Amino acid sequence: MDSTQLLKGVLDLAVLAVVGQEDGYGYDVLRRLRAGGLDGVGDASVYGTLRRLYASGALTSYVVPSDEGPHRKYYGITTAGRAQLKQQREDWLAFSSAVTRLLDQTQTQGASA
Amino acid sequence: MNEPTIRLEVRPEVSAFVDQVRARLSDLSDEDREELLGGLEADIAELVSDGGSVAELGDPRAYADELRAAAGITGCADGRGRGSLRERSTSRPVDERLTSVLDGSRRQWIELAETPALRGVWSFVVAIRPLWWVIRAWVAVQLVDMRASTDYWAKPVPSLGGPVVGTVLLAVAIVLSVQMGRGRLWPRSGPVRPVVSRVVLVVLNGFALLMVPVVLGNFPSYGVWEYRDILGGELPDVTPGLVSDGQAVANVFPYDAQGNPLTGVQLFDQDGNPLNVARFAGDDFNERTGKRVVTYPWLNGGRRLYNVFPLPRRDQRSDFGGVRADAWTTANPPYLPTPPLAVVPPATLPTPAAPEPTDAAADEDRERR
Repeated sequence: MDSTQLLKGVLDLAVLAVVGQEDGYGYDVLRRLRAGGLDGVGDASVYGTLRRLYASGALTSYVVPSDEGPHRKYYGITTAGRAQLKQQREDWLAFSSAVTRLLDQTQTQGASA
Repeated sequence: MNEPTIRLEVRPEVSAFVDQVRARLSDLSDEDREELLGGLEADIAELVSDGGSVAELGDPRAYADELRAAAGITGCADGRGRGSLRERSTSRPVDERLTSVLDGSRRQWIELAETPALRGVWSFVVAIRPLWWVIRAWVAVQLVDMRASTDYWAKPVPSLGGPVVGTVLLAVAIVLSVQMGRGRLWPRSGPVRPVVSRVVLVVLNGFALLMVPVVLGNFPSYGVWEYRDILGGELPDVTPGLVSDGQAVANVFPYDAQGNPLTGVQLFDQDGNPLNVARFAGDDFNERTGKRVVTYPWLNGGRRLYNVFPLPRRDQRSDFGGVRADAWTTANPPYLPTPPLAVVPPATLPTPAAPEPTDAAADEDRERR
């Protein structure tokens, strides 16, 4: 199954989790997501998600200037973001374990049939 | 997490890519757009320095759409503009095609300019870009002057009826043009603009470029001050060339003693100096038709003689002001003007009454002894 479709639903959660662990700028967050196994994630999707979570108040952001070249924009998690992360984590765990259970059942039934 | 002190090289293709993403987001408010784009250049620059390439990011427009969708900003690129739905659906394809053509040429141009062979030249061209901003302003004012002024030569600073008007207009035009070049005034510069602005700028710049030779063609090749001294009538103490009753003589029509017109008569004064007509005294310009009548010299090899009469004339297009060396070989050669009078009454000298020519010679001979 195409994981990008799945990813869309949980990208918020994944990004919140990564930033909640440690502040990061766009490319850094992207790298950490990919290192964590989500290698199908699109650059622009991650950057856009960061912007959206910032706009909704789940993330804060600050600019780290550089002597030369463009400034880097870091994101950190807010209290509201932590609450959202907690909520979504619970939702995800409930959902994913339900799906896993379902898959396990159908597989067992399929095997026994 | 990386060190806060960073030093990233932003390669031109990264900036170009970000510019194109920005262009795709041009329908957003400045705030939304910059919010979306904040840090993007640094992120992509790092991707590149990490061994990635801009090419793997794919089409900047698709990238921008993905960015926008992920950020949950409503109104995608299709919703740009304020027109009705129907207007949008008809205008969009043209719009988009133009944008992609412009973006594509810009990308190719930047790639070409950044090749090692051309990089030095290109940075030089970029450095003298303000010169072009001044030139195009000057060309624009010259064009206005060409239409509005009765002077038939262009001047370095167009007069437009008065010395102050032209100078002020030129100054204003230069300020406007430079501000446009700096991106402070519509239609601005660079890719981050609605397609209309970009097309307008390309067309205007192209037009200005084409008009440069036209404007330069309106300058006399021998220098504008000479002309002003001769015909401008402001300064000269002495009008050059033949003068009759204080007026410059445009042409001379000699007739022989019988009253018949002559052609090719060379005139010299008491000291053997040629009696020249001022070179432009006979030139004529019809404002309504744009036709110019130019006086042509007789020739002695390569020398132009303005003391041989009558002087030929030639009808010329207004953009060729002066005498052209190839005029006689064209389909429209100079012609000898019709004398103002077909014939004139014969002229005579009183004839001495008696003496035979031989006797007179004899008398003279005798006197000498």
